[in-house]
Amino acid sequence: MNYSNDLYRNIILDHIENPKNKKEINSQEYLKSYLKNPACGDDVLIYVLIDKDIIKDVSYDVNGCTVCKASTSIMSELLIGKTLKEVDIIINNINNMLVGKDFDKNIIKDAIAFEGIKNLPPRIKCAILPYKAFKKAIGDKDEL
Amino acid sequence: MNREDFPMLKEKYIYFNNAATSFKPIEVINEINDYYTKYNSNINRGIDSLSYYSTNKYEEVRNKVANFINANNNEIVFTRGTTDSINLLAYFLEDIINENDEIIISIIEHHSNFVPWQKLCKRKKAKLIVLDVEKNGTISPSLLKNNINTNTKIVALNHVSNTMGATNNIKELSNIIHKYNALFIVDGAQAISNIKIDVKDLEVDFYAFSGHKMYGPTGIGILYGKKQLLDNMEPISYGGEMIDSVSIDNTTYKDTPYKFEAGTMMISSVLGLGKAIDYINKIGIINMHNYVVNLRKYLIKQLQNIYNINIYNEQNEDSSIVLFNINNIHSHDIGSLLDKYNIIVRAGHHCCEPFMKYLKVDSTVRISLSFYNTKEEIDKLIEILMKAGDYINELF
Ligand SMILES: Cc1ncc(COP(=O)(O)O)c(C=O)c1O
Repeated sequence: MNYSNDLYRNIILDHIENPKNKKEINSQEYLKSYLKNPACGDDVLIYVLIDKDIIKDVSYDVNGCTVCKASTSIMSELLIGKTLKEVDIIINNINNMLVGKDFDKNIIKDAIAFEGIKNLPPRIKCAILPYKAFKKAIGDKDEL
Repeated sequence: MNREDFPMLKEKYIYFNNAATSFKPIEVINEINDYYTKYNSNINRGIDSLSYYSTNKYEEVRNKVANFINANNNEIVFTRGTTDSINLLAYFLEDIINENDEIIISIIEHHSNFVPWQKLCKRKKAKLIVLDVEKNGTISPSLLKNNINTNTKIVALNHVSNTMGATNNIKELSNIIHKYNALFIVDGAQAISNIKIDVKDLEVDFYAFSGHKMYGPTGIGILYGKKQLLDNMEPISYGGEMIDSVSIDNTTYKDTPYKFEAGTMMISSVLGLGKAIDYINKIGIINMHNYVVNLRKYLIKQLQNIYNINIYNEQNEDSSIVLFNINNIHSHDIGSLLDKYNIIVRAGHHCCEPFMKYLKVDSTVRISLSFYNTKEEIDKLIEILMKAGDYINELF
């Protein structure tokens, strides 16, 4: 185990044990979308509250593996308070990291814990699922 | 046993996903290669000697399949696989289903023996009856008795379950079903490589299986059907080689089973399947089975040393499958951890979502053994599973 492993481990454990921004949403103002990974059964329900072009809130319900769960919690932290334009940049950087391309470390914060996913290609889909669901919720049709 | 026969076993992997698809012995691979390099030709076409040769080889395989399951040649239809066989049946049999008729399946069926019947019932406004299973995963004959009636037209059940590995008493179920004149369709995908199949003795009407789970190639499966039943069914795919004669107004078909094999078939896969059957006969399916049962005993004993493990089908001693979870760790994380060490298992819902819900889990880890697996491979598996509690460190 090296320093970064230890750090990544703590980040992931923290998001698993204390999922951030997860709460019950009854308000009709939230955009909603449900996505399931048919191959493995992971599923996420994402709630997004947008005001003009700012993401006011993100919540979720997620069933699945560690990667999918932690990724969803991390996403909520990353996206709340951002403009749609900023969101686009963040998601692109995370996607790049997952598939082993260049990315900006400073933009993606805790999501850095998934840097190693590029060496576990079958798991990329678990990490990316909440981002796909988010894009679907806000009606962004660009493919991830 | 016989590891040197399998080129894949020279690769770095430890392969415990045999229920998904098995490795192929070199004879099977060579047969496919020979077809493309020595006598590539289409079958049943023209009078040339190449075509004559491959047609004979192709029909020889039908013979081998028939002998393998104790059927007649003209009761063997080549398909793409189990899924294809069952889907075809769900269309072939559409005519016998009317509104308010009933079709019985079970909660533990693979999606491929679940969805085709669910959809047929929707098309025909018929009723789908889904039987629960016993704790070991089998279908209880008395539960079937309580659910079958004169409206029941089809009963479609697995022979061996791909999750619990339990073997159903097909003969006993068959007796009940035929008292009501319903048709009995059996999904034999997991049985075919594990137990000796005799369709006459089992008294089933249809039996479906895949070549790739019995050491053969992908793209080839079998639909066995009683001759008289096949004769009465209308094909759903029309074209070359299935016709008897065609005029502007009308077409007559060839006899069973040829009327169900329209167009150019997967000739190379059929030939490969023939070699797979030769291979199984050479080793002996009983020998394979006995070896696997012994190996499974060892596997179970070793798995019991894993902290927090929950094995769902320990009691199914005759099976090649072990289904489990390690508490608080998602099956995909176990799967990824093992994958890191080149150990291949299946993690997920195994195409059995209704049954996973029934077990109250969303996924499980499945180990499925073959006669080429070894105790040493199991020891390696256990060594890695011992680290399961540390999977986050290991993976990230
Ligand atoms: C019990 C069972 N039925 C059907 C199938 C489907 O087989 P295929 O994918 O070869 O059509 C499988 C394969 O996983 C199976 O295990």
